[in-house]
Amino acid sequence: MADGPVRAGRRRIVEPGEPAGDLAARLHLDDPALQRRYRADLDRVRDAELRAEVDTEGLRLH
Amino acid sequence: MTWSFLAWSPDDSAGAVYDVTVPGVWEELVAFYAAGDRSRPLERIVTIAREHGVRSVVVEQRHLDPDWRSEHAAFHGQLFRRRPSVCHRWHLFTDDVPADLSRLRPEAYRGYAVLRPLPSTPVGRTMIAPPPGLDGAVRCEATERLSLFGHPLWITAMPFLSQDAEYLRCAHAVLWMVLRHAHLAHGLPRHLTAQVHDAALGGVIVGRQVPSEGLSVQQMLAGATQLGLSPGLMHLPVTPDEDAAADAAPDPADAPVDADGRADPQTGRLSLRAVLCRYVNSQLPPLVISSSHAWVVVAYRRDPAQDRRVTLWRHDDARGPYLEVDDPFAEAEDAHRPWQTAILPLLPAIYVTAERAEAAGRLWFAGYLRRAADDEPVAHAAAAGELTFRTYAVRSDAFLEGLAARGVDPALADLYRLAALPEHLWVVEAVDRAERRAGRPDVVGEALLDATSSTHHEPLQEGLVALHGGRLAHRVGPDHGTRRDLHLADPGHYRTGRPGRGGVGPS
Repeated sequence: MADGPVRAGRRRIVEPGEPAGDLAARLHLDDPALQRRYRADLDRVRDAELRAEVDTEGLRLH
Repeated sequence: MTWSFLAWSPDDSAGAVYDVTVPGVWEELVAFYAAGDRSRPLERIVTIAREHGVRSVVVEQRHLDPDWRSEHAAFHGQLFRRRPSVCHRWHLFTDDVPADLSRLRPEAYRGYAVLRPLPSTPVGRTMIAPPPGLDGAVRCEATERLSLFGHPLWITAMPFLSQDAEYLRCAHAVLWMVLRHAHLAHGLPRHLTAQVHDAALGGVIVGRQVPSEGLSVQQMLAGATQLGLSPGLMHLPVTPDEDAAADAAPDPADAPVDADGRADPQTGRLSLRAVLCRYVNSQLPPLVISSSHAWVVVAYRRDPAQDRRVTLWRHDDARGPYLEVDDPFAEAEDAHRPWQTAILPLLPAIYVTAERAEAAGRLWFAGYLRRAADDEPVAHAAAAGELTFRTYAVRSDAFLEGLAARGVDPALADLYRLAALPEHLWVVEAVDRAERRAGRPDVVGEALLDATSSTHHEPLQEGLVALHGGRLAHRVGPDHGTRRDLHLADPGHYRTGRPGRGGVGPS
């Protein structure tokens, strides 16, 4: 099915740009310093969510 | 007091027109509907109407309001003392409306307010245009079409409703506002007030439910979930010091990511305004709760002269629509202290929260900045200390349809347009603060993220659909991982794609 469901009459879209490799690898996103910062950001988000769960226990809104 | 049926429906006229330019007419209208008591929401509606220069109020005297009817069937109709099952509805016009109602001009229309037969809490379903002071603000709003005496009318506003202090409390009212907005703006089913009441009966029950003594946060979450949202919960800083710390970047010496310092992705900003603005940007009006009350943040505006200063507006069911918040950390009333938690009314099709999406977007830009040429706008903004980020969720089709109006390079627009995209995107825009202050197009790059990505860190990172940095734009296919690069000769600034007025997508 690599050519789509019907071969006859099929015109492929002209894709913009050019084939490329993995951008994450080219940008070295696996750099430990970047990854540490990224994980720390996500951890802070999770902490804020968990804290909200605790903060809102027993409240009654009226 | 209880309205007598004949006092509430004095005759069989379909409506009446009031010339509110006559001194004392506004006051008489308020006195009639509040019936000698005080209704701050009604007073606020009159204040806004005056700011709009409203000259005529057309009153439907026998409006069959579906929300009121639902409450009436569930509660008010069960009382020993009878309450009318019909409402009145004000329609606000900035011109002189003829007494035969033969001419109702859409361009003069500023919205409506349903008045319930409840003396101290009369304000029901309301759609009133934001006051002129909110011109230029980023606002949550949606457009409703209605028909009045044979004339089609349109109003763009954020829905408002006040509690009745018996069957509906603040928590019900704010849930209704958000759900009504989601119905008009995002196509969720319409939910009437009694359905909101019933949906919030679940969760951890605190106190009596009928008459309602208020809702727990768990009940609010259960109600919102049952009615089609997927709400998140987020702690908000409660003091200015905590707020500043929530935005502070760590010392680069402690966590270096780049010898030049230019590629510092900054830490994720979790200040009160940063969190709330992401959801206003996304047309997902955030609920805020204190220890006893709840309200909806409906708009914000960044001070052009001092762009880190942001003013917020809220709908407070007990005080009225579009109320400016001077300082969230110095509230005058106990009910508003502190702003401690935000309930984020995410759509079920949006798995990733704004904060996680922004963390992933910052990571991609941090990587990009390390290979960017000095003359690329994103690198230039970073080097000047003027790079920041703006995050919003948007439907992909609305995002694509808005590309041309944003001034996006046509080749880049084609790269996006011919991509396989999810229904919703998180867009993390790299923003040049200097251009933002100047009121010019300020976007220097953007990361497009799949809103249904896993929220765990590695798959979230791989949720990138496309990235535009400066000279390089990149796209990733979903099934075969096909990657394409586009090289832009002369990258510049373009306008935000944030949905709503001033952006793209549903108004």
